[in-house]
Amino acid sequence: MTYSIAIFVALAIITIGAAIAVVTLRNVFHAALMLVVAFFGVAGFYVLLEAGFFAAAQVLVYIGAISVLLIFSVMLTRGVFMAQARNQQSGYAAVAAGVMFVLIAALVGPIAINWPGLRIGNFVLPPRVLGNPIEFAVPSPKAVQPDYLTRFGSNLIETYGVGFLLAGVLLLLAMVGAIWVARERKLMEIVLERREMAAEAKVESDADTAAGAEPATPPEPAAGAAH
Amino acid sequence: MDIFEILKFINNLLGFVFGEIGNFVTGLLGKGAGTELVLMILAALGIITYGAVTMMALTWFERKLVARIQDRIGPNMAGPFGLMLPLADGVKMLTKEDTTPANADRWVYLIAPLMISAFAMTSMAVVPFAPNVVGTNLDIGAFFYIAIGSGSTIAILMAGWGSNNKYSLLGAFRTVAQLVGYEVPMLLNVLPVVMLTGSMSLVDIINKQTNVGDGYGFPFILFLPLSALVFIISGIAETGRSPFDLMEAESEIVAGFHVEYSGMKFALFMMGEYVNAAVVAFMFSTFFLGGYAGPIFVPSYVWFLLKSAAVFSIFMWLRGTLPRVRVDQLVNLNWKFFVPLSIINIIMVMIVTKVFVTSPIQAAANGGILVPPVLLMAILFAFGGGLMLAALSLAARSMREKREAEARVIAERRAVNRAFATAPAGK
Repeated sequence: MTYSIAIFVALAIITIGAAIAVVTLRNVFHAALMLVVAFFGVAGFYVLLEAGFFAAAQVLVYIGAISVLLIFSVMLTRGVFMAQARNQQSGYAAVAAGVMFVLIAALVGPIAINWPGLRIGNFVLPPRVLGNPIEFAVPSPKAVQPDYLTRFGSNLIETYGVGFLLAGVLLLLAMVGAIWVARERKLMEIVLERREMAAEAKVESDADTAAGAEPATPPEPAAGAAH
Repeated sequence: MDIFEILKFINNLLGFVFGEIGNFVTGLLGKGAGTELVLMILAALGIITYGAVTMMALTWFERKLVARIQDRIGPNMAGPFGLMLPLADGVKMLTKEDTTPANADRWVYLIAPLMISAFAMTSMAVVPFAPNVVGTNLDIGAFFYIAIGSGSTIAILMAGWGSNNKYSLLGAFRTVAQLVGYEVPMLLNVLPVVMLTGSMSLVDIINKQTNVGDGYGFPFILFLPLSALVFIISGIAETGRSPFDLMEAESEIVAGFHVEYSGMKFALFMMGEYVNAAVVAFMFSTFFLGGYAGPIFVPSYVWFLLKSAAVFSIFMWLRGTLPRVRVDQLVNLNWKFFVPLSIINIIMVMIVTKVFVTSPIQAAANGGILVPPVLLMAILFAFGGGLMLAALSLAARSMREKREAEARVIAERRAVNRAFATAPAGK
């Protein structure tokens, strides 16, 4: 029982509190910032588990890249400037959250209960956090440091090489797609494309009115082309 | 006691003093977790103080040097050589009115400057200043520095959003494009250094550049000239200094993300900026110039400061002489030139270090030609330099072609216009 348990509890409170704030705050921008705090808390857990590399990776990837992307898209959302955005699908969101929770509990629960350090009855936390309720084979945390990195690296290349490569291919495809979407185009090309889309939308809406559907709404691509 | 011993003592003086302070505190409080915590807090305070002093020194140094470049004298009234100017600045900042915009997102607005300087100070924690004088010798030091550097993007976004000002928001948007992009070449050019060292610890990286143990005995700038060049340029872009200071371009968006900040909040932004720039200089001297290592007649900590000051002078030299780049130039330079070049460079280093190995153990285990470090250096330098020249000539040629094509189009248009102008009217 060292001060690491106090740090663990503080981190847990920060992470869970921030995570709750993410889904309850009305201001979408604040919610995104709270997500950053939650990510920081998770990085803190990695540090507590002596996995510094993963903590740094968490900060670099989740805070440096994903959160920035998220905040950026929040800023570009229409209506964030004017009024408080409201979630109109909170019912669906609650159902999805419940399903996800059950799935994660079903996946992680058996592992967590069989984890050497965790006892639900006496509430014992994982061994690394507490110090040593159960002695590990490694003599000291310092000695294990370079080892886990090399093991992680060789596992990535050797044991899980195929998955690693597939992830790389997926990222490459995403990048090629992004470049394709953002490619430089001639102005005339864009105008023709918009015109085509507007014509298609018009045909569709005409068909709708002919079939007796609700009165036609102005075709959206045409409105986009007018900008 | 000969002169060598005395030099050695002076060399290790800083580490000795800090070690003694640690021993004193431990003796006072007794061994235990609490004492460790106190020592950590003391070390953190020391690093933060050092960061603040660095910022004060750099503001003076920069004003003086940029003034010389622009044929002015620079600060000379406050104290000898204007040395008291940073203190005068501090008084000015403290006495200024501390305003908050009425429609600001209050908490976000207030926290942003704190976050920026906190991130900057945090990255100082892994900088090795002298033997045994390092905040914490992390096994992932190089990676830690890059990761923490990416955090300041969020703080700048918060400042831009929280101020509720168009110019602030525009500055924040530019920042994202710039900082997120330039992290990539920075990371890609630290990688060859880590590959040569076989460790991400900054102390190990310095040791590898010395004669001690299995070190190569030469700074990595001679092994990896291309990486050094790309790293320093991306470092300048990453700290948002001129000529890449698009996020606070005065002539376009007033002052970018910190338009609405005044007083000490503004000072915190400046502190974050200067400490970040100083850390880039520290990191460059650690990765490529051998850090505190150097001939013993100058103490290690002085070597470190000299190297860092030289790197920082390059930043100021560029600031004093170059105009600001355009947004599209900035982004194109990164994604179309630096990133592909860095990836080719990594592959090149990977192949060369597999074919030519310096340690006999590795040669016996994995094969490869055993060469002395000097030869490895020469080969890597030749390959890196050749790659750099090839890339530059390719870029220059494509740019020239583009320019010529544009000129042709313009000439054609002019010819048509002239033909119309000179044509007889009527028909």
